[in-house]
Amino acid sequence: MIPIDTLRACLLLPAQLASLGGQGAITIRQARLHFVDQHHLALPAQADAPGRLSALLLHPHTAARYRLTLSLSGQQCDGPVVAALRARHNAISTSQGRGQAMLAAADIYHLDHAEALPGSPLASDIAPGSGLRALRHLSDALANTEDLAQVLDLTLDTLADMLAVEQAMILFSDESGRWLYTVASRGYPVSGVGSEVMMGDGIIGAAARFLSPVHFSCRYSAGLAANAQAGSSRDPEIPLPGLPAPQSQLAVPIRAGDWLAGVLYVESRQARRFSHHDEDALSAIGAILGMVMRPLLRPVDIALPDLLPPNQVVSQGSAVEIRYFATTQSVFIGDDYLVKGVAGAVLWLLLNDYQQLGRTDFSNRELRLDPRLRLPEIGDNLETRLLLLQRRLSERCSWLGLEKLGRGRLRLRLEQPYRLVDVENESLSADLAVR
Amino acid sequence: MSSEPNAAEIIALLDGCHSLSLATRTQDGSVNLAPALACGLAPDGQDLQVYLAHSQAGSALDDIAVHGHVALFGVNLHDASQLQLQSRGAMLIPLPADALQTVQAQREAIAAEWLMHGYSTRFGYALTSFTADELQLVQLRVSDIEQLACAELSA
Repeated sequence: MIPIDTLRACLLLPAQLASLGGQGAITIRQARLHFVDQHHLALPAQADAPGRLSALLLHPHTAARYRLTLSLSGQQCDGPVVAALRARHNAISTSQGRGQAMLAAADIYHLDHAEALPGSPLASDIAPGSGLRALRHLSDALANTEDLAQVLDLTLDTLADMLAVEQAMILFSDESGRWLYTVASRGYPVSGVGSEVMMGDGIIGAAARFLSPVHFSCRYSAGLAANAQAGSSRDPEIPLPGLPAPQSQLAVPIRAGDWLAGVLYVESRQARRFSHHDEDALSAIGAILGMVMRPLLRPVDIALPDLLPPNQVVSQGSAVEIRYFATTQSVFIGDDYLVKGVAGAVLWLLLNDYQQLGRTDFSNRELRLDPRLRLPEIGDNLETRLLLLQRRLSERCSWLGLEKLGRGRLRLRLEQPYRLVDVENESLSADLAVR
Repeated sequence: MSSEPNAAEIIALLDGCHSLSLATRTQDGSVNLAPALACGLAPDGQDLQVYLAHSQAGSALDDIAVHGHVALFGVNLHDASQLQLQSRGAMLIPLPADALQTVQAQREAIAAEWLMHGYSTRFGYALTSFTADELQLVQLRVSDIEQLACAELSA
């Protein structure tokens, strides 16, 4: 029997599969076998699935070949194996512009026989230990963290420092459950914070929709950025970061049970960059992040801050126009798009409250209860939207920012006068000097 | 898409393949799949010749000795296409004098294809390693050819 690690490594590449048809015709095809357990492999279900298969596997690092004999043992219509196959199937289909597809079931094959073909294989250069070390490091670091932004930074730092991952991004699921938006990234010319991916679309959307890792060890489509430009993004104002032609891609859900927080995605210009050990490590990191994030995203009962008297007005420079479009809750600073949706509505509310009441300090709880925001009672994602807003401001606007005052509290930072324009309601506020 | 086979067209298609395998019908009614080292046109210009390594062939040589039902499969990394050829008249034949040179030349070409797709030269050589004393040659007349687009690149 092939060692389980060897078998899993080989399954990152498509296998060549031969079978005998009903009229005695031999059919050979290439397909990715999916690991079920040491004695079973799976394929997307076929109406006329062959009862027996002869398979040739190739080890992606050693060039060793293996011949397997497989016999059909059943079909699964649900469960993690089917979810993994569906996620992969959907990722390929949507990335190639063929729309979302639903795989009906998985054919499960029993591994009857396996043999290593004689040859001169190379030594394996896969190092299984680095993933475990990264997991230990990250779980230790996260145990002392109660700040969502720090959780994301620690995660991306760990991936870069301990797994040498050069390109990575973290996306959160939005309130509707239909979109994912980028909240942090590493290794790209622009962060892409605020960019979006439709649930189910491409490798990231598929990992989220099916709550399953999706791993490509070779190029299967144009990169994420190209796909997003092709129409899978709701918000073309902020391009999705991503390599133009990644050779390796791996997306894992950030989840706790059935609750989906988002997706952790890594990619590389190098083919076969990520091993099945990396897939295991990232899947575990996704699960840890889910467990850590879930309590951090729960509302915190913090007393409303006292109303502060307006600070002394100090005019510096000309007023910047801040425009708001209520229909999409989009905010523009000058001519530059900043943010939309809940994050846009929150910023508009904060700026209005500052203008009218002189307030700079706010609590998440009061925002959550504020009828002007119309947040849903359950699953409002306010914490993640505030993080998105904070990061967009930090990237796009030097004189306006959000600072955390501790868990559940934040402060508006203003260093320049502004003028609020509610475009769709045609109202123009008076210039406001910096306080 | 199936079509009438044309020897020159087949060779042109196979030239672009970085990975070849030969499937045979086993005597117990199943299929055996074996990697092929090289292929080319037979001197008659009508048949194909496929080189196998005895140690990697499994039951292929025995299967062909009993009946000549085989399928040859090639994958092209450049356009992700797959090529499948059917034959019901395959047979084992003696090695020609230039067999070693033929296989060595294709080994170099295949290693170069893998190199272009991010694999080391060592990988390509390891993949096509063989010893001269285990070379076997199968000659077959193609009865059907099928070319398929592939959703996912093979390497």
